[in-house]
Amino acid sequence: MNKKIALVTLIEASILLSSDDKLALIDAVPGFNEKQVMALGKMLAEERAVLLANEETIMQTIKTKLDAISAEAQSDTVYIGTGKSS
Amino acid sequence: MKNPHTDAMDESPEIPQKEQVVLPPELEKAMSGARDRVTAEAKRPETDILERTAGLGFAASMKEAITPHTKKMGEVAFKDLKAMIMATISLVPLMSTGASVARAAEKATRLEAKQLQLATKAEKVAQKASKSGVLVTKEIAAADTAVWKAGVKAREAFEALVSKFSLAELNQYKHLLAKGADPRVAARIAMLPVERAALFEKEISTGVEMAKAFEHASKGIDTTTKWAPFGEKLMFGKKMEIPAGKIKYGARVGAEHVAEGWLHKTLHTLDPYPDVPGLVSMVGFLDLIPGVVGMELVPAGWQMIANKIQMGKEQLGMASDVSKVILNKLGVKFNKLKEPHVARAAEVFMPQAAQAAI
Repeated sequence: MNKKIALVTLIEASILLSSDDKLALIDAVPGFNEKQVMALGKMLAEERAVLLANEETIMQTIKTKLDAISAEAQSDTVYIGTGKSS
Repeated sequence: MKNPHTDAMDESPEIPQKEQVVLPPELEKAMSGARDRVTAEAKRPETDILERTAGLGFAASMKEAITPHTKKMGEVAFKDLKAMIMATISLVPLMSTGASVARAAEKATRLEAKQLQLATKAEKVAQKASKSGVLVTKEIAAADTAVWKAGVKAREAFEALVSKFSLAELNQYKHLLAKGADPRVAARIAMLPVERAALFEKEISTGVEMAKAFEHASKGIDTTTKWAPFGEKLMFGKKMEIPAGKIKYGARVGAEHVAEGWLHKTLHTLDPYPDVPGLVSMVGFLDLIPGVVGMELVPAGWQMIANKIQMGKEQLGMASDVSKVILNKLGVKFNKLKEPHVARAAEVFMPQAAQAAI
């Protein structure tokens, strides 16, 4: 697979990158030199490997934290600034 | 070149035309397809919610998962730890190193400005709360606005001073704090919330230079013992007991926002979702501080997240559990990583054996 095409594929599939980041990077790919392509490609390949290796842990951690946020959002407590009003 | 007004030959040099780069058809097709799919995906409310709300938990989770692997990432051809971390979490700032990606850098600057704007709004909310007595004690309702303003100026000077720490140093400090080691190094961070208040009082009242005050305050300071409970109170918005008559309220409020401002400025580069307010970004850092456990937030950050959860519900047009939507979306993204063509692309840069070793 052509390296720049592989790079575009990894950019699109990345989880860490936001949509804005992805679009900016995709547009920038044609201007990358070999060194930049390899560095960024390795980076994204590493990201993919790390994420897949820790998928279960990450998803469980996020679920726990999202549940806490949602529960807080549904409470009647009102937060003002840096203190809780009772 | 002919001058259109006089018809005479213009001696001014012709403006050189930009070199037209012809992309290989396959690359152009790949880019076009990816661009269209990412754009379409971004418009979906679930994606917006995921990127704006779930970034909080995701940032902390990614840090937890990625920390053991940072050594392996040394294989990547980056010059220093800062570039490596920034590349790991947010690649847009990294791209400012190349002339061909100036647009990406400009976008990063706008995102940074937006985040600072959100952090500033949170600070204003805290300022108003201080007048209502919610921040710390009833006496804080009489906070001196002039002292507050001086504290803000001091923060800017402090940030300029602290900016001399490279991200590599700062990350080294966090690592040491987590191990409870090297008091001298940890003191530089540990002193921020406690001593900064006294520093500001001194600076505001006597005009001592920030750099000198910083050095003075950093000597012989007991670190984690002081930092953990104070940090917990500071960051979690609990009531703080001010030693009577020793610290000016305004200076202390200013001190809080110096600590928050500095951490925000440093940590936003570690946040994969720059739209998440800087106050919220501190969670990942706090997880490394001894004695500070759990994912509680400064309530100003809670307010923003709660608002976004509500916005998410409104965007989805139903009262369903936004968390489930986010988790489903994340599940889809993980599945995409496993698709054969993505696996082949990854193998171009990292052999399967190396991937399996992680």
